[in-house]
Amino acid sequence: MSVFLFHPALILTTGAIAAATLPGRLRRVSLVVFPSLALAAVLSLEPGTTWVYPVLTVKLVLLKVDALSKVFGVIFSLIALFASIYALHIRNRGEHAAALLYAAGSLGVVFAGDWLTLVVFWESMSITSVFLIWYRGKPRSLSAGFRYLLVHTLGGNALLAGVVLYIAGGGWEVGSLAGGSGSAFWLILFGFAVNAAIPPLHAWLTDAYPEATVTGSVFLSAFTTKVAVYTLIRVFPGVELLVWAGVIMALYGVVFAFLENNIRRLLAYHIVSQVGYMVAAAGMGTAFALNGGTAHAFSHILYKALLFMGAGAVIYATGREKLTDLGGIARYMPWVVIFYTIGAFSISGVPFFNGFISKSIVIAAAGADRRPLVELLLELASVGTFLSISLKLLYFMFFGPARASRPVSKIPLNMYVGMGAASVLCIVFGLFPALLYNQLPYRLYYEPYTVDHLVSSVQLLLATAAGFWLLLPKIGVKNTISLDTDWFYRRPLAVLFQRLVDATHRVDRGSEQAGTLILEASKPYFNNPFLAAERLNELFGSRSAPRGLPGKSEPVRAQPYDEHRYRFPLGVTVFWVMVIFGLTVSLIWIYQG
Amino acid sequence: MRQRMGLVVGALVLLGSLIAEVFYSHPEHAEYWWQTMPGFFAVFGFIGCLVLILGAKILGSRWLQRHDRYYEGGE
Repeated sequence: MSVFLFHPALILTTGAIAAATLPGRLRRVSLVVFPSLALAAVLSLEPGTTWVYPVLTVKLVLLKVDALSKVFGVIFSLIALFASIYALHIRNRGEHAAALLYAAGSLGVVFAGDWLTLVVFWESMSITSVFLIWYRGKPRSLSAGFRYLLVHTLGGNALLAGVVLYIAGGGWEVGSLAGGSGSAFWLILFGFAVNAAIPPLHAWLTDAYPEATVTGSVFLSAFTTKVAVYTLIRVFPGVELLVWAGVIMALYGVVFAFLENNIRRLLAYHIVSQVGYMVAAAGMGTAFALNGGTAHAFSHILYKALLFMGAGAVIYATGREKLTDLGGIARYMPWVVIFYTIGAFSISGVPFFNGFISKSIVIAAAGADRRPLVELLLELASVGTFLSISLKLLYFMFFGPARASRPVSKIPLNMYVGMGAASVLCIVFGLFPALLYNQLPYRLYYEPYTVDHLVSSVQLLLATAAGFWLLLPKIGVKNTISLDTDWFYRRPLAVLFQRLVDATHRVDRGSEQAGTLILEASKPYFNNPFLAAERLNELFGSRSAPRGLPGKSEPVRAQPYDEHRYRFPLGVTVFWVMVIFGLTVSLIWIYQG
Repeated sequence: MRQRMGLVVGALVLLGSLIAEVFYSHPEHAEYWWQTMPGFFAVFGFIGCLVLILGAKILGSRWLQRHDRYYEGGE
């Protein structure tokens, strides 16, 4: 029982240390044990619990539990467990440690009661998660990781600045800032918006997630954006701007996903799209909508991790990640197809899967909040979700024209266990929605399984399938990437930066050359200080008293050398000695007096 | 053969959903006119699907899509 006296983030941090230090089998045991302990610790937390640690002059509220933070804590520790199982075969200690620290950071943010604690854990998440990208070891991952880190540093610093301003204004505890304004409000909102991947600040996600390791992208898909959703629900409920930001996200994601060729980038665009529903829910701000956003985040973490696991298994087995290189591999990996399909049906909102019971709350909340346009546009986004995740990806990755040969590696058992566990929960929550609804922060009066809802969903999905089937000959896949807002910092900004570096380099080189020239020219004058006087005399003195006055034909008579000619008179030396002596004495006199 | 099976099943399910909508739905819960109109979501889904596919295709081919190695120096 004593484990329940520890902060869940501390348990995962201990797990990270264990994963980094323990050998072979013990490490694998610790990778299962510590996330399980963290899950147990979160489940045992009673809403209303607060742990305060006085440090110097401030009171750090490291843990503050209510229904909202608890439900996010449960799903974060649960997915840390599933993703760790999925990653058990990885021998890289650093990767395990980074993944668990990243998960610990997310729990730290969720349970943070004051702004300072929140910011510290927030920053720790971006620093640890970047290693999940870098450990892939490809040049593309390295540069994508640096871009990821830079964007997050920008967002994190904006958040920090906002928090400093807010604390300076007398605030301390994390709570709603809705209805506020001023620089603290906007800076904090900007920091959250970067992590929530709200366009045009979303490109870090679709840039970096597909370049991460196979197992790392499962962790990445779960935490960063959903932590931002949690903070948006907690801090900015009912901020009207977010409703439309969310709707735009939902549609933006599906359009770009449809064009995408890299399977994990396609899934990453659907993170943007799905998080759009949650952001819109936070923006509506009614209890119904906030419940919907929370429930959808819970479902989304499960099915999105499952989708990334499925795509990861394909990449692991075939070594390929583009639709133009895949296809026709379903018979080599039937279980992966089944698990992936469960994830795909969940995200698409097919009845009896968990997306159906949570996405519909957000859509219904838009209707209840008298926003018909938002409701219809979100329905349209779910058409696009079914289109690219279930139909396009399933068809071109597993069935369709075979471009891939036999898989090259055998998928390890633990990957199947991770996928299976997530699949089971996707179905269980879909069949028994009360399991999720009872955990939500507000009382929920909603029944997903009505005739009207089932009928409208079935019609929507069938019609989408019909449209896909009709246009299939035109759809195809091409080996392309799509320009997105990362173009601005990968092309024009990169060129500008290169120009600046070049200009600086030119100034540096030029001044070095000029300096060398000056030094070379002045070297004789250092050897012989009186040379300067002689040169000056040659330049000016010769005109006033030209040599050879007596006659043009008479040759200039060289003066015999006279050493006294170049000496200072003794009086000059005596004069300066007197001046310095006088100054010294008067200084002493002044300071003593 | 398989395709025809799929079409038949799809058409039957669609028909079933329309019947269910007409006879078993609860229009008193509806908030907007489209929620009481039978078959609205089938039409909406179909048109939405075509609009999304064609819109994305046009957007992609005219503007957004570049060769895979665009950022590595290709065009």
